Amino acid sequence: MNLLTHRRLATCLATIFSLTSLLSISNQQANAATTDVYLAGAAYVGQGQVITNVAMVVREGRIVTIGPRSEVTLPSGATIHDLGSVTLAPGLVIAETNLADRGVDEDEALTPFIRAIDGFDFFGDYDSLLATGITTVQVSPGRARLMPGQGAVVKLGGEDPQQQSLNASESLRILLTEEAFNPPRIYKPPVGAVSVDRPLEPTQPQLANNLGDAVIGLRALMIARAAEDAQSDLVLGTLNEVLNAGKQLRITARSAGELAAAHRIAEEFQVPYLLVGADEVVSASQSIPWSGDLLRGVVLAGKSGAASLTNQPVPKPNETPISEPWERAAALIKAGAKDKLAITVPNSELTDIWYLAGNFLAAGLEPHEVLSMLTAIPARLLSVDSRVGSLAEGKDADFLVLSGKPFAPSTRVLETYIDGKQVYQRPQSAKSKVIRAATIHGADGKTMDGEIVVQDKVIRGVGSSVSFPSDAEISEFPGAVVVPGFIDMATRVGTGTDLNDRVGLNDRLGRLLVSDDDQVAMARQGGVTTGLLSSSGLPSPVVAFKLGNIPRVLQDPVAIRYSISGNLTSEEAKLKATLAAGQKYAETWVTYDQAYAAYQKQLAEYEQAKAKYDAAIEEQKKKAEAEKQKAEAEANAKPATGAPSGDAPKPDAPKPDAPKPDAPKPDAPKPDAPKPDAPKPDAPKPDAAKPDDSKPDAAKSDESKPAEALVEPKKPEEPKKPNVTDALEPYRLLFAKKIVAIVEVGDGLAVDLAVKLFVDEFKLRTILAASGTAYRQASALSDKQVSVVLSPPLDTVDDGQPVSVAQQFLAAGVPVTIESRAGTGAVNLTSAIGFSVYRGLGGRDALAGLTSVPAAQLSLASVGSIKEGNDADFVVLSGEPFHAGTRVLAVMIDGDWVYKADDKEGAQ
Amino acid sequence: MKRLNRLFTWGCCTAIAISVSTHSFAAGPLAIRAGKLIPINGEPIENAIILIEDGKIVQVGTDIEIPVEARVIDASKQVVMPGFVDSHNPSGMSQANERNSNVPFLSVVDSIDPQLDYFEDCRRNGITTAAVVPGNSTMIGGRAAVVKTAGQYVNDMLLRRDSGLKISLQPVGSSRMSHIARLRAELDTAKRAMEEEAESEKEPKSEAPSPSDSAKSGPAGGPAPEKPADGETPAAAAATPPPTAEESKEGLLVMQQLLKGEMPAYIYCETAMDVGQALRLIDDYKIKSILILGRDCYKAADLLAARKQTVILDPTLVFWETDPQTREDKQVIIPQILIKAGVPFVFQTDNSGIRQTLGSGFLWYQAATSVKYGMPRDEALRSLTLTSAELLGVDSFVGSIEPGKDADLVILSGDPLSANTWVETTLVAGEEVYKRSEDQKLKRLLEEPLE
Repeated sequence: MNLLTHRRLATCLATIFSLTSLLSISNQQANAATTDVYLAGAAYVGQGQVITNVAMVVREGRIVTIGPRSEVTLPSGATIHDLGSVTLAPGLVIAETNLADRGVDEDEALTPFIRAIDGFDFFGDYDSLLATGITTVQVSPGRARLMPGQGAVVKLGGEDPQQQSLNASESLRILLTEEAFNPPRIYKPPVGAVSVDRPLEPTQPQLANNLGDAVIGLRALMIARAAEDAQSDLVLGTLNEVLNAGKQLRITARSAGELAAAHRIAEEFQVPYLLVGADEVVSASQSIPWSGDLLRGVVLAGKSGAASLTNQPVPKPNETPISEPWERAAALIKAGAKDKLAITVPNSELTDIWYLAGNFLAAGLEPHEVLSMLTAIPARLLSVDSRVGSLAEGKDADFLVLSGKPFAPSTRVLETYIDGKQVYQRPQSAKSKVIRAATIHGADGKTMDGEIVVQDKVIRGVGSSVSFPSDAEISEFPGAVVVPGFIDMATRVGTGTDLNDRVGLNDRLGRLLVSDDDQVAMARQGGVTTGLLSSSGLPSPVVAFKLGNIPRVLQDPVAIRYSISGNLTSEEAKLKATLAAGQKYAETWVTYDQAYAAYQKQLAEYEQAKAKYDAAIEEQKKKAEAEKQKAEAEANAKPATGAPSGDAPKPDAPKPDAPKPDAPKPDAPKPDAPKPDAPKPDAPKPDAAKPDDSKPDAAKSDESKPAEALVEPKKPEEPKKPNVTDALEPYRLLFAKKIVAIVEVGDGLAVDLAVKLFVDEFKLRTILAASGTAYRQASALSDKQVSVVLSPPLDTVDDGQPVSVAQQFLAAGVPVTIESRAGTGAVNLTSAIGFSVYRGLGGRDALAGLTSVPAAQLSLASVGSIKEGNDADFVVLSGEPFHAGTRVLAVMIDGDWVYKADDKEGAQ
Repeated sequence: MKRLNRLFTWGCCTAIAISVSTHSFAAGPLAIRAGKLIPINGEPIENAIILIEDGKIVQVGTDIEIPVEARVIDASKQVVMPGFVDSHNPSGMSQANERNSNVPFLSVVDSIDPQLDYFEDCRRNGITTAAVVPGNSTMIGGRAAVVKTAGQYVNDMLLRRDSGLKISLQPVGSSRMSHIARLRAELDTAKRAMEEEAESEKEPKSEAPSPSDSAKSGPAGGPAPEKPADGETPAAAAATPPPTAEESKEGLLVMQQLLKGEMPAYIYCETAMDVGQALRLIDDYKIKSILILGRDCYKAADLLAARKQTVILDPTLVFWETDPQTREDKQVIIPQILIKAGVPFVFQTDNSGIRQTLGSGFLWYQAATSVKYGMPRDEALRSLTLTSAELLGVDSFVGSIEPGKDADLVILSGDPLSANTWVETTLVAGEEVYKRSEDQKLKRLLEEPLE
């Protein structure tokens, strides 16, 4: 990281130096500062071969030079962007889209005077197309009329519409396809009431009903436009204007007939034309001179709906199947139209053009050739190749930064530039956050300086030279102290209301937590990031949760909270009964679990034995069969003596086979276990009773008939599951010591009783919520390895003397944790503890009591200390924790800043 | 019905009041003592006196001797400033839009009704001059006029007839491109006719009118001689019913006036892309124009800034917009954006739907909003008065308080941009056309409800 900064700094300094030196020479030279140099691994320039290790110089939105790094002299003072191993490519040029007014149609069939550029919204939102790498598009008027108007070529980004419009009148569109036929009849209502002067006229039919009509109509128009006063007619005048200016016809034609008609019209009147669609190009390939001059190019539609499967009719034997787009491309290439092919896809699929165009690689094309069908060739077909479509000297700096080779599946557009300005940048995935502060209270009471790196809600590193990505969001807190997020052993916030009702022990309080709670937001301003919540009706389950904007449950339940108060004699009896019931319940489950484990083991053994038994039975059957056959054979053919001798081993063989399955089971690794007799006594011993039974049988089988001796193994019986009592379920966790019991006691006898019951008798992990003069019993508690949880004030006055309760416990070796027992009051937790620190409690002990100790007591491993892998929960303090004047500067929970003091001040 | 009756009565009363005042005060000189005078063309003056004779301002200053015969309006505790100018409003006419989308031959003068509530509201709100402009839903919507907001007959009110031709780029019932194409076709026809006329003038021949006639009839929808065999009509304006010969002739004249620069165009731009179109039209046909912006035109602020031309803003100055991709809401403050880009602007009021009691229905509120978002105060006040007057080409008559200009004044109870301020008196041509003390409607509005 340091290295990186240094390098950046060096570049910066170099730039500044060169800048100042330039400035000193002359003002005009200062313009060189707008020169940018892009260094990349490779560049697909649009046409021709790929340049590797490329350098491209861009000035004022134009490409000055492009070439191998060794051949390009970098202008001094230029900003150098070393993009690494990426690939540069020209911005894509799409030869036909409906982006102008979404291809809305007029009523009239012949509207050549309509210009698509008038319907293109230069201020529209084309972000998704720019993200795809499309920088230039042709926009077509209409889509279902014979002659809907003039197309235009525009850039999707840029300074102003004048600049963006590359070719305001690119072509005259003609559709010979089915959707253009049968346009609506025109109805012209008279102005005002119908009268003799203003008769109601019938609707007028329009061109065209079919392909023939269309061709006749177009021919008539072409002839009529030569008339003397054609200029005064809007349609013919426009037609003349457009065609005399040498604009091309853009003819949409799909079937072979339509293609041929398109060609006929263009040839008859010698007008250059562009074919769009061309589905049946394979069958029409003979009828059109594809390499002729009049045909400017063919815009092929990519295969749409690539991700879905569509059923197609089974082709009849003598029928040519529907060709795929790349087959059409291949046919056209064969016909000599290779440099006339461009690719387009429907508007809705433009964002997938990389994949759809990638299919054309199947026509035997190289990636750079397919790319030219999306860049240089369409640019030429649209007569905008002087400005876009390739990366070359003098062209507009419309280019893409690709992560790899074009059309490779994992290649993505990283950046898009138009006129040298970045118009799209691929967003970085989940930014890391870096927190810089003077002191960090790490794990095990160690303090250090440096940084904390957070990624994906988790601490990725702590210390002075942790590596982090260059795009990380860095938060600097000079002079600040970072401590782990506080764990409040008893909070009242989280549900939006007070939990006063008695709740069932099996209730999940975590489900009551609400998002975006103002009280939570206030409590965490005090530094609390994890809270324990219980109902005030005790006993109650306790949930541990994070105080984020969306509360996150850490463990539910994490403890059960009890209270001992009032008449201790009756309390004792009551608690004892409760706990005993719980214990009994837990024990029945423990017994069951053990029995069930044993059952699982037996079941496995039974299944093995059963398999063995089944095999043995099968063997016997075979044997019996064989013997029977043998007997028959002997009876039938006595003279053949050779045969029985060959058969003889057969009946013997099964005998040792039958017991054999027993043998490999216990000691499988020994393949050369001797005779079946030997392993048999060994094998059953480790097993349960059942295999024992089978063994003697198997042994017997050697001597006499095995079939009778075999005994089917008995299936073990599943132990009966105890009834589930919801209210007692948590006791299973409690008695398994997976969760703790937190017992609210006052002092004196209640403490003794709690220890007696919870620790001595029921042997539970216990935390005593002590108060008053309980510290006098501290040493007794330390013997029993019980910890205490205290709530502010952490000191008391005993016999007129101020006493730090927490310090007393700690001195006796009793771990101390802290609870606020407050709602929004937790905001002042640090200052309340600060008072105790002033009274003699160690600052570090106080911090531990809020962080690492409760985490350890509750077995919450992911919180309570700042170390790698832990949750990113921190409190940034303006100074040492619990010192007077120390404020909470910021709080992070799970990698999100949930509170920043600056924001709050700024907001007010 | 009862309410209607009441309205009718009020209407009558107002009419009578105006006619009475015309007779009684027009003759003698009038002096106004202003506690604070905001002349717009100069610094505010404390304790100023304005001397008015024959409806014109004669003298303005602090040391002015008031003639004995002069009637004196004492506004020494109040603020006096020029009457506000409403720069674009179709409310003054009986119907904003035509069904026919191409009606350059129409003039709003024929449709202005002095008795409309709109004019009464204008006087109540201190507006003394208003441009009555056809609505935004007609392609070529007719000629606008600038009128005073008080008068019994249209001719009394007229300040500038044919102040501009309304052109709207908002398509109605067709696509944007066909809308523009039709508009261009109209302009082309007029241009061609003009050129032909010029040619025929050069070489005077008797048969001059015939080509021009055919040029007109062609695009207007008459069947072209080269009509293809199957009876299809190549007419451009087929969707719009053809105007009569008279109308089309007058329309053509108007269009030619536009092209010659004799009359500006009020061009309404609905979206940002229309701004680009409007500017292209202006350049292509070299027409003078006043741009009226729709809400989303703020995106074209840079384009507008390059022109240094005053524009008329949409009534909605501040609104929320949701980004379609990120779903993030963003507040758009149009005055702030335009001030930053350096586009001068004036305001219009929102008169859609129910008449509003506060907010964008008031010019002063629009100005106050802009001041809140960074517009200098004096500039905001100027845009309400003199800038608007300049835009409409009537600044030699109204828009500031200086000798020679019409005595169109508004006397305010306090700061002009404060919500607590009332319009106390409105004067048009030296006549008190509105007095708060006599405003029965306002009284009724403000009095306690009966139940």
